Amino acid sequence: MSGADILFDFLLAALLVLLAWRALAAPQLYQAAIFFIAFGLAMALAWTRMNAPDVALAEAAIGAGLLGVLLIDSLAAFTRGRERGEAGSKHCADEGTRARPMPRVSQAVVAAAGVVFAAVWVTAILRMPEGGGLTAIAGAAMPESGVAHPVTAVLLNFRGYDTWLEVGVLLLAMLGIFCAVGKTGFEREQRPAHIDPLINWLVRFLVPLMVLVSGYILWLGKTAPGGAFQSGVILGAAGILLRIAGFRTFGRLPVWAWKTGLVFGFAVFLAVGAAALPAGRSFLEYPAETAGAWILIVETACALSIGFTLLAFFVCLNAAGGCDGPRQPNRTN
Amino acid sequence: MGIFYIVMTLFLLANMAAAMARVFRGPTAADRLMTAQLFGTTGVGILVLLAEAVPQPALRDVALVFTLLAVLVVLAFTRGHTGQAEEARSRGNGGDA
Repeated sequence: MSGADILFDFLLAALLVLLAWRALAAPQLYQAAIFFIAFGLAMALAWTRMNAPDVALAEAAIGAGLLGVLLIDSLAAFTRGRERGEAGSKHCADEGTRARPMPRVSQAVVAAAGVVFAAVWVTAILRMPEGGGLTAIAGAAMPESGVAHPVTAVLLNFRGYDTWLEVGVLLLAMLGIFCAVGKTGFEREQRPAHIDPLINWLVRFLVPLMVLVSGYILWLGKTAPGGAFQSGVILGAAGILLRIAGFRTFGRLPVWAWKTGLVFGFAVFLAVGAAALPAGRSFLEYPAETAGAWILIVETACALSIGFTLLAFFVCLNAAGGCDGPRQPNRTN
Repeated sequence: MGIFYIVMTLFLLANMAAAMARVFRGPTAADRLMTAQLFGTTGVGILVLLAEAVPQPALRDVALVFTLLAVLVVLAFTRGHTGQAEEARSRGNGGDA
């Protein structure tokens, strides 16, 4: 490692700390959101410096792309709530756009948790096993995994159970949003589409490109950094782009179609895993000859479902309109 | 890393650090958003340079994803603003009761 490398890494690390601090200390939530987007970008750069392009890819898609839209759109929803001028939402719009200082008790709790976390982290690094722990075992089993990229082999084959549950976590998060804001976002038609010519051109150019890149990243997972999650995020972003631009592509879907899309990845993963049981193998154990095909099936289903889930996050939160609280749950039933 | 890549990535990173001042000072929301976009563009530049320098071809894919998704924030921002006027108009007709 040369001096210039160290200088670059040092600058990047300093920038990260500065961005994180500004994102936390910004007086207004909008400013904090912008700093957070910039933080996501710098973080993706940092992951590449730590030789983890898989994580960098996920961070680029989630941290810099999707989270930014969610934050900016939620803030716009807060402002709308204020413009509505209702007594209830006036109060909450004011709270919404101005960042409030944290109470002293919370500060103390956060500081204590930070110290404990740092201690655990340092201990973990000091106790790091020689020779990279399970790396050698995973490397030896690579020929049976059905894919050529070690990260995909670990995520979808050796450690498939964990990944399956992670898909479930996303589903749980969606259920949480359902409980908090109801599913009215799916049932409400978008306002009549008046699409700006410039945005129209942009969408017609970008959405096919996004779908193409999403497929490319999915396929790439077999041999290089990429895979279901990153691919799904790009798909979700394409859906969100359509939605923001005012296209009604997903506005007309019935609720059962949304529900199917949300559970699809989890269900296919479960079905593929359970299919191994009658053959006398254990749950999620693919036969070595056809493992690649099974992984591709699972990954495709998960990518579609993840894209759908992220779009649903956006649609639900957007329809919740910031802060009128939960809508009447049985208004539309 | 070759000397060219070192100088260029360091220069771009210094640019990012300098851009922080604009996010901090604003003054308008659009200024801050443009700075975030500048962050993105600079980040893509750095990634493409690093992809050659390290060499780590996968970084080009990261740059590709960056580029594709950067536009979303701008669109959310502008739609949020124009959306307000439209909403206000529809509320005037008693849209949401």
